[in-house]
Amino acid sequence: MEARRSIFRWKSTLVAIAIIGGTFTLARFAFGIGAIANVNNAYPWGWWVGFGVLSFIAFGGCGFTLALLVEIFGQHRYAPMVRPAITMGLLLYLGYVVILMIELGRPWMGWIIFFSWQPTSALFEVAWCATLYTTVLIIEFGSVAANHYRWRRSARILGMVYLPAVVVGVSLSHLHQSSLGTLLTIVPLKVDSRWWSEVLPATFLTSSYMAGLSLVTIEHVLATHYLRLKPRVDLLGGLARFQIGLIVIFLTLRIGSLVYEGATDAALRFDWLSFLLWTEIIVGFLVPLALFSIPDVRQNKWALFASSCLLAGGILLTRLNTAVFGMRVKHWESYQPAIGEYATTFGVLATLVLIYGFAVRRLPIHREEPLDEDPAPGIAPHAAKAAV
Amino acid sequence: MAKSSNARMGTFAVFGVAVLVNLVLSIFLLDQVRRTRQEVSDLSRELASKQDVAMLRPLRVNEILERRCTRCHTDQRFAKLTGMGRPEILETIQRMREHPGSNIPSSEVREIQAALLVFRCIACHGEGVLSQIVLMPPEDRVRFLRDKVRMPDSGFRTDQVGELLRAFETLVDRPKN
Repeated sequence: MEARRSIFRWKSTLVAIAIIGGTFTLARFAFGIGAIANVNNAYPWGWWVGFGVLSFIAFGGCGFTLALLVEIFGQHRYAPMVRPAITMGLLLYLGYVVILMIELGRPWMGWIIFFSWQPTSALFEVAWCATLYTTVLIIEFGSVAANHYRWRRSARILGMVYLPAVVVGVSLSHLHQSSLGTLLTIVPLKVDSRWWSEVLPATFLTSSYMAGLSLVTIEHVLATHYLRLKPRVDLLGGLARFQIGLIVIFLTLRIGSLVYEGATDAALRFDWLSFLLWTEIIVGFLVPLALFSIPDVRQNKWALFASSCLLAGGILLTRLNTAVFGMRVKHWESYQPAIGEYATTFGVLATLVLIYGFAVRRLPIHREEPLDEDPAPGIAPHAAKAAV
Repeated sequence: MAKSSNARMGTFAVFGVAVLVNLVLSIFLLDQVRRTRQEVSDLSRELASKQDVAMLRPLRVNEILERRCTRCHTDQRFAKLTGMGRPEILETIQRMREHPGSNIPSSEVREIQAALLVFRCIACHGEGVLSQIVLMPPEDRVRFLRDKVRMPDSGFRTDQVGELLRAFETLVDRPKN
């Protein structure tokens, strides 16, 4: 009963946030970008790109990371986590498209990207790969829906193309996740020396793996808690082991590039950007690394949840630092995200969470065993069915 | 039992983070030491040239124009100012100030006028070269500018030496942002 009340409270809050975001979106299309945003010539990549695009794509990497782990590397014990990961990946990619369309303001002109052939442009590659990958995610998610609703013909076709789609999806993801870093590598004079490096494509790719695994852990803990299912702590512990390796690789690249690019003096300066850098490195990466390395933490779902939240925060801060806070502009230029920018991104995020909650209750996305013999009706029907 | 497990986890985490932070700081400090040694060994015999000293107080002509003018006008528009004296330039700036959104405070009119006048010099000499005028004694400065203005295609009339001198003094004396 308490769980249902808590879910209702969360749902009401999310609906309110989504409505506010929707109102600001309407205002953007009615009165123009200047009415709701503070982005300017000095900061064309503001909150929308830093949070809405770069971070949504990073966290949307959960789909390809789990597909890579299970279908390509053959770690089939993680198979129960693939469906939630693909669903979240699909929703985050759709969310990124929506935010991009809100920012650009002309969604009806989106098709132009397919006819503006610019194969040497990193942005062109990102646009193509992200679009194709979203299609792949729809195919992967479609096979779940088709099997559940017994659309036999569609299920058969989707089943046939599922594995090739996974391979294509993983390849496309590697391309565009690293190309997001390339986008910033080609503007060395625009990005602060503390974040610019030649290995940005590699750090962006590594951080997308970490973001994906963090999101899968956070989702699994919350979903099993609210749906009253048995959490797979053994699998979460396994993912934490992968995270240790990934954080070590990421930090080696990050610290190594700071030393190689000669940015250590800037990193040791007492200013706002160095504060952000050290917050990112210590709170966002070193603390999770230390926590994941402790065996007791790897066997405790809430400790794993907290560590993953810290790591997710670290990745989010890295992306914002690289694309927004670390932008080098003339000293009189300034940028403070407007309420409209926050409202639209959080509105989209709230809508995604609501859709995800709906999908989890309607489709067999989570197939863990229920915690109790008699789970609360309506909360986890698939889990109940599985138990029977 | 759970409490002692949590305490153990906390101790491990704090110790682990301290070790890792120490490792990162050690790497950075070693790099700093290496770089400092490199920089000391790379020091030239002549520690600072005239230009280096001059650049301690740059004229910042481009910065003034970029901040107040080039958002709306291209550099080519400034070419039209060639031949204009101080009063005409001041009149142009006053006209620009009346445009809505131009955002030019009255306190900056003098330095914008000075920057526009000196901008003509930048066509041939870099801002760094012009900054060396700061180092000259006043009488040398006048003589230098007079010689330069007399040169063919200088873009100035001979009676504009005074204006040019005042423009340089305005730019040299302006407070540092």
